[in-house]
Formats: sequence, structure tokens, C-alpha cells
Amino acid sequence: MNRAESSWSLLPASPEESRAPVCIVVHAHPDLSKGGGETAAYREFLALRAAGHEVSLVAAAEFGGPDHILPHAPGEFLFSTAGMAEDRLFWADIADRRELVRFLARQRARIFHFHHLWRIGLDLVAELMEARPDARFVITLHEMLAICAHHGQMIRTRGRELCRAAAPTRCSACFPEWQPRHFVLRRAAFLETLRRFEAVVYPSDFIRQRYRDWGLAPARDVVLENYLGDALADVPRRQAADPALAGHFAFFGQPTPFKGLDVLLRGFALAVAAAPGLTLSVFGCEREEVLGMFPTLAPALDQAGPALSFFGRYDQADVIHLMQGAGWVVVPSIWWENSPVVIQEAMRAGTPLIVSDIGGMAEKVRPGLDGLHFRRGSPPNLASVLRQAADPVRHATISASLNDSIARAEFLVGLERAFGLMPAEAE
Amino acid sequence: MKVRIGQDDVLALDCVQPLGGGHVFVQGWLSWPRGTATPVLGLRAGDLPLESLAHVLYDRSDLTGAMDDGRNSRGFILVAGPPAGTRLAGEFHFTVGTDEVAMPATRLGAPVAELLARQPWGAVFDLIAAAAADSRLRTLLVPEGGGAGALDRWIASVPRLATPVENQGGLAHVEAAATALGECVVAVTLPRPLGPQEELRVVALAEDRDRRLPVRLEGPPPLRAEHGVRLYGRLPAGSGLPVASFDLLVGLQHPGGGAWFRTAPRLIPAPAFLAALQHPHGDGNAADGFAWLHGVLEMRRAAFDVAFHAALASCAPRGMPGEAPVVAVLHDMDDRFAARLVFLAAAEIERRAAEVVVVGAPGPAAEVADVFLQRGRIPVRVGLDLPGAVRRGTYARARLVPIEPAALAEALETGGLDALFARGIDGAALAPVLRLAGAAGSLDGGDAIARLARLLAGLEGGSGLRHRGMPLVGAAGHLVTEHLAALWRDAAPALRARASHEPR
Repeated sequence: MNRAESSWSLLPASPEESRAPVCIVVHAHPDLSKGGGETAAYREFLALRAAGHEVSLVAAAEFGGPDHILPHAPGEFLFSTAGMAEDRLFWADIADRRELVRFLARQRARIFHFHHLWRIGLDLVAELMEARPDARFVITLHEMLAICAHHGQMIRTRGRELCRAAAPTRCSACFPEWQPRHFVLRRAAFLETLRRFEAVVYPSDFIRQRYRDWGLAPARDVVLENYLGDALADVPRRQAADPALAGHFAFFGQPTPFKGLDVLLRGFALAVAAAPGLTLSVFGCEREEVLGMFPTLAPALDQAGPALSFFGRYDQADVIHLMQGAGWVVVPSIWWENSPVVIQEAMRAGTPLIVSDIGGMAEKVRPGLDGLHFRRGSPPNLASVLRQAADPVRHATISASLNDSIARAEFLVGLERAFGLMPAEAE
Repeated sequence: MKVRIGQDDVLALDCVQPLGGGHVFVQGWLSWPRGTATPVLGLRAGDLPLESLAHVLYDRSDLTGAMDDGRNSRGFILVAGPPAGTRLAGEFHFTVGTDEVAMPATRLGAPVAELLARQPWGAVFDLIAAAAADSRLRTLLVPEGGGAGALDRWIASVPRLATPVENQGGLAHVEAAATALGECVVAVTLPRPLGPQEELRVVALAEDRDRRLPVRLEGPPPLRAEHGVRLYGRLPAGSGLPVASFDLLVGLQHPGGGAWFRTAPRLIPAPAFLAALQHPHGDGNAADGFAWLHGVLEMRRAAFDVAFHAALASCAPRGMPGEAPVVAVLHDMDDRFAARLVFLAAAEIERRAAEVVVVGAPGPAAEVADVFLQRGRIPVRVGLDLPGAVRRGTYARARLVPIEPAALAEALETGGLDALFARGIDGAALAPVLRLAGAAGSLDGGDAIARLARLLAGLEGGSGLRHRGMPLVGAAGHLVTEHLAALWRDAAPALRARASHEPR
């Protein structure tokens, strides 16, 4: 049942409603983990509060003790996921779920904004909707978990082949322990849950299209870029390109198999062999971690020599400054990436990007305007693009046309539109 | 007592004992000139010829070689009684052809049970086979019948064999299986070639209170192979469904003796049973086996048609009023997301159903039932005892709506829940469904409902009704598969007539 098709209107009943209390329910808290989804949800929480909304944030966490729900900070609460099923999509412990539903239902919120269903529970959403038929429900889908059982990444489990559309037999080939029928039911459960939301927010048009193709047609689907938060938004943006940085590249992130750091390191080794003046800085991990994950990269690292530097973990608050010290930020992910925060951060910093030519990366980085594309997973092609990028003229040109990240005001307007708090003519 | 009758025949009596109901048990031996016809034994009471209920002739080792050359000598057991509606009067006489001799006026010899215990097993088996065919001989089974429960005691002395079994009693392999319909198969494989006069015979032993009642099995002659023999039999029509558990009394006899044992056949669903039936010995004539199987299946089909149409007739179509309570029967819930989907659809199901029944594997079924238990809005049951439901008429006034997860998923996506709930079947029609399930599926409620749902959805004869996991291969396998599919396919129109696509 699509609730929006019954008695709900997405338009506010009165002007006062535009300040309707909001409860953000999110799969994690950034104090405890640094994923993009929880960070985006928390920044939304702060931005709404700063804009005068009555807002609370209820985040999943892993903690022990007799209490299932704990206050964390003013307006912030944590709930334990211990009672959830192993896949963290449903609750095994009915009492835990019911307690959380009662807690949420007691919130003064007129709008519940969910980020993710994982670690929250499809059943919790359904039960809360039954308990609070007066409230509006909105969800932001940061990933494609509903579509793909492989961590929502739409990349095949064997090899690095990209997946463009889910299908029961295809999914079963990725997970032979499950029959195709399992994926029919899995899709139906997600679809039935997601259809009940009045609005679905996507951080990119790419992911929205994936969900549309998959069959989700909510009453309203909105593409709204994640907001970086006031602290990063207030950092002064670099106004002009520094020609000296044109040949200096940087990577920000973890050395996970899908982030494509191995592709970058191989590509850089090829590039630096042909153009010795290039440099690459890797933020977020150490050399040993990289070799632990990709032992075969040792020759490439040796080949890069002193042109390659590892800087380990960095403080998120420093990211803009760190990016401003590089000529280009490279996002070499081999999976789709829906809206990587690193792209927004680079745009905020004023540093152009070199990205894989797929998914959210290709969408967010306009080739020739915000950065350059290379063939996903191809070190030789990346090497060629790195050498082109090192041209100071090209670097300056692209730096000049580079988009900024989304501003707070624009973000709030988009959010209010998603919440149905904005008159139609203003949209 | 030994007397000469007429010119040539000699009659010896070892035992004469009266049984209940005016029946007489006589055992002895008979000798007649070789080359002449076997004398026909009979009894007469006064002027009234008695009816022979059992007349068993058998070889006796104590007679072999003891008689004069040129004569045949065989033991006999004769049980006779007055024809229905007559009374015994006058003295008993033995008749041999046109000659006769007076019977002793008093009991002669040992009690029947004691005597039978000393007789060759083949002879007693013949007597039991006769008792299976003629209920009047059951006087020999009960103590109060005058025979002191002689056959019952003899049966109890036959060794039990837990089948399947290998290398027991000179038999390489023995297996026995049965269906809820009262069919059975006994397959014996030998470590040597099957003798030309070797014969497999089986009598069912039905439980009747605390004793075993021999029941004759109907079926074609056993299928003989070079090293084995296979017998298909079925209890007479009219047995309940499921039939009460029964044992088999098995004899593999040859002129010099044989092997006898009792066994409890494994009760298995019809598809598995037929798979066991078509399993080739590997050493027989394939054409013979195929023809034999074909005959068995034809016999099955004929028996099913009679039973199915009788069941249909017992539940004549009736309009299902719109207010007939709807029972949602959730089946095939064996996937983690099935229960989850039901959770999400629970409110919509509750809106349309008065009760939920969850069938299938216990774990997932319990998980689905939990959804409704925790909501507490409508009753929910786990499991469907199909025979019990038919017997008690549990759902006779309800409309059953089978729902499987994929159909529920589709209905949720397309907004087709009303259409899904319109596909119900009159609960009174469970009786023919039970017959169908017994003959071509399983009496397990989950399996039967799942197949019924596919039948109503128009998938009969397709892969949805196949019996996966059964070793139904080759031409014989195809024959069995087609037989099973045809039962469902041909039953479909009649069952559809009992189904509703909209509440009436």
C-alpha cells in the first residue's frame, strides 16, 4: 500500500507545519563510526536544529548492558542492535523492537526521516507506521542494499564485474546458497517497505534511477546531495588554481577492495614512469595496510618510489585543508559509488577530481568542468589521464569551472521539499 | 485314525476339532493311486453338505517314502462349516468323491494351535491366505473362536524383519514400503537365481484391537526377475485414508520349503512409493518390468478414479456465501524473507481472513505464526492435519485461501491482494483433495495445500507439480511422473468447480 495515495498530502496543512518536529532515525552515529550515511544524517540533524526545527536523532549502536535505548547527547539517543537478526534487517527480539517502536512513537515528531533500513529493521518501520499513522515518513537511500544483497554495491561477488540490474537468477549466481526465489521475496519485502514512505531521498540521480529501474516508484523521489555540515561549509574555498599543484594527486579513503586504491597505485606507477615529476599522497591508510590488502602491489609501490607518500589517518575536520594541498583528488572506486562524500569535500575545497567513469562519480564530476574521467578499473587509462591532468592549463581551466558543494540553504530547501513542507509552486 | 475309502483311497485323520460358528477343523493326510485325480474332500452333517472354507493340500516329509510305490500322499487341512442360514444336524461324515466315512464323534488329536505349530509353514501360510480371503475363517484367529487363536499364535511366532535389510535368512536384500492408501510393495533380491517354482506371497496383517487380522491384497502377479521378485498389492477398496498401520506376512516359497517373515512396511508418500516400485532389478527383462509397472499404474488409476469421485460426490458443490469465514493457508514459507513478507502484509491478511493456518517445515512455519501471535488479532494455527480436518469437518464451512510467498509478493507489488484472496477453495472439498494427495502426493497438509494452490493457479501438469528429488528416471520414471501428473491434471476441473474466484 502506498500511504501517500490514500489520505496523505505532501503539502503542509498550515504554515506552522513548516517547522514540524523531525525525528531522524539512522543506522549508526558518527561518534561511533565514520560512514558516509551516518555522517550525512548527523549533519542533517545539526542543520535542521540550527534552522529552528525541533529535531531528535535516534541512532543504532552496539553496546551492552540492560538498557536498550540510551540518551547520548541533547536530542540524541542510541539504541542497541543486539536484538536484531543476523543480517540486521529485521528484529529477532520482539520485545526490543516493540520498546524501540514505543520510544519512537512517543517522539513529538511529525516527520520521521530514516537513513538506511539496515540496522534499523524493515519490521520496525512497518510497526512504527502502524503506531503513528499521523506522521509522515521519509527515507534517504544512501546505498542499494534493497536491490543488491552484496552490501548494496551491485558488484558481482566473484571478480569485480559490475552489476547493472538485479534479477533473481543473477543474484542467486552471486549467492549460490540462496535460490532465485529468495531474491524474489527479498525484493518484495524491501519494495513493500519502501513503498510506504511518502518520499524517498537519493543523494544522486544515479541511485534514484537504479531504484526506479528496480521498481520503486514512491509518491515523491528527490535527489538531494548530502550536506557537508556548517564546519566544512565555512572553510574558505580555494579561489585560484596553483599551477605547482597540477601534477600532485591525492587519495582520501580506506584501502578496501572496492575503493580502487590498487588501481590508482598501479596507474600512478605507470604514469610516474613516463612523467617523473608527478606525486601521489595517500590519506586514510598506511603503506603496510595497503600491502596487507594488496600484496601484489609491492612492485608498483617500489616503482613509484619517493613520488608516493602515505599519510595515514586524518581528522575529518582537516580534510578541506588537506585537499587544498593537492592538485587533484582521485576517486578510483571500482564500484558505482552513489555520492561519495569525498567528491563533495573536494568541490568544497576547490580541488578538481579524477574519477572512475561510472555511477555517482561520473554523475557528480562533469568531465572537463569538475574534473576528468578514466575507465573504471584500468590502470593504463588512469595513467594516461593523470599525465593529461598534470597540464597546468587544464588544471587551471577545470579548477575555474569546478562546482561547489551544496550550500546549507539549498540543502534545507531540498529537505523541506522531501518532507512535503513546501508549497508546490515553490518547488 | 486311518481308514480306507472305496477301493483305492486312504484317509488318515490326525486332528478333528470343532471351531466356533459350527465350523470344523480337520487335519490329516490322504493317499490315492498315482495317475488318478486328487480326491475331493468334503464334510457332511446329516444330509447337509458343509461348505469348505479352506482346503489346503501340502507335502509332508513324514509321508515321503513311507507309502507304497505308485501312490500319492499329501497332508491336508480342511475347515468346513454349514452354509449360511442352515443349522447343523446329524452325524458328521467325511466324503471323498462319492464315498464317505463317519467322523469320530469326539475331538481328536491336539488342539489346533499346537497342531499348526508342527505343520510346514507353507501349509499354515495357505490357511492364513484363505483366512484373508474369507472372514469366516477368522474364527481361527480369536481364542473364543474355538481355535484358541491358533493362527494369531502362529503369526506371532513368525520372525520379524526390519526392512530394508541385507543378507538375512538367505535373502540378499528385502525391502517393503506402503502408502497411506494401503498399497504396498515387497521386493526380494536373492543371492542366487530365482527358482522357476519359487513364489512370493504376501498377506497384510491389519491391526484389529489387539490382534492381527489377515487381509488379502489385490494386485497383479509379482514381477519376476532373474535374481529377485517384486510384488505390488493394495488393501481392498473402502479402507480408510490414511489406512491404519499394517504389517505384512511374507512368504517366499518353493517346493522344498521357503522363507517366511513379518515386516512393517515403511510408510512413504505415493511419489516415493512409485519410485521404489519402478526401481529396476537390473537383471530382469526391461519390457516385462515396464509392462508390469504399466499394469500397476492402470490399476492404481482405476482405483483412484472410483475413490476420488466417491469423495467428490460426498461433498456436492454448494455456494460459498460471501460471509463464509476465510482461512488463509500460508504454505512454502521456507525462506527467511517469507516470514518477513508476511510480517509486512499481516495487517492486510488480517483484514481479509478470519484465521491463519501455517503449513510446511516446522521452523519457518513457527516463525510465520509468530507474526500473528505477537499481533494477537486473529487466531493462527501451525500445521494442517489433512485427514483429521476431513474427518472432523474442521473447515467444511470455510473458504480456504492458499497463499505462498511468491504470490503474496506479487500481490503486494501489484495491489492484487483482493484477487489473491479470491482464489479460495470450499473447505468441504478437502475430502477429494485428500484422496488426490494420498494417491499422487503426500498427506502432509503443507504439501497437499501447496500442490492444490499450484493446481488452482493453472500450473497442473507443469513443473510446479513435479516431484523433485524422486529418482524417476528413464522410461519407467517418465511413466510414473506422467501417472502422477495426470492424476492432478485430471482432477483439476472437478476441484476448480469447488474453488471460487470470487466469494459468492
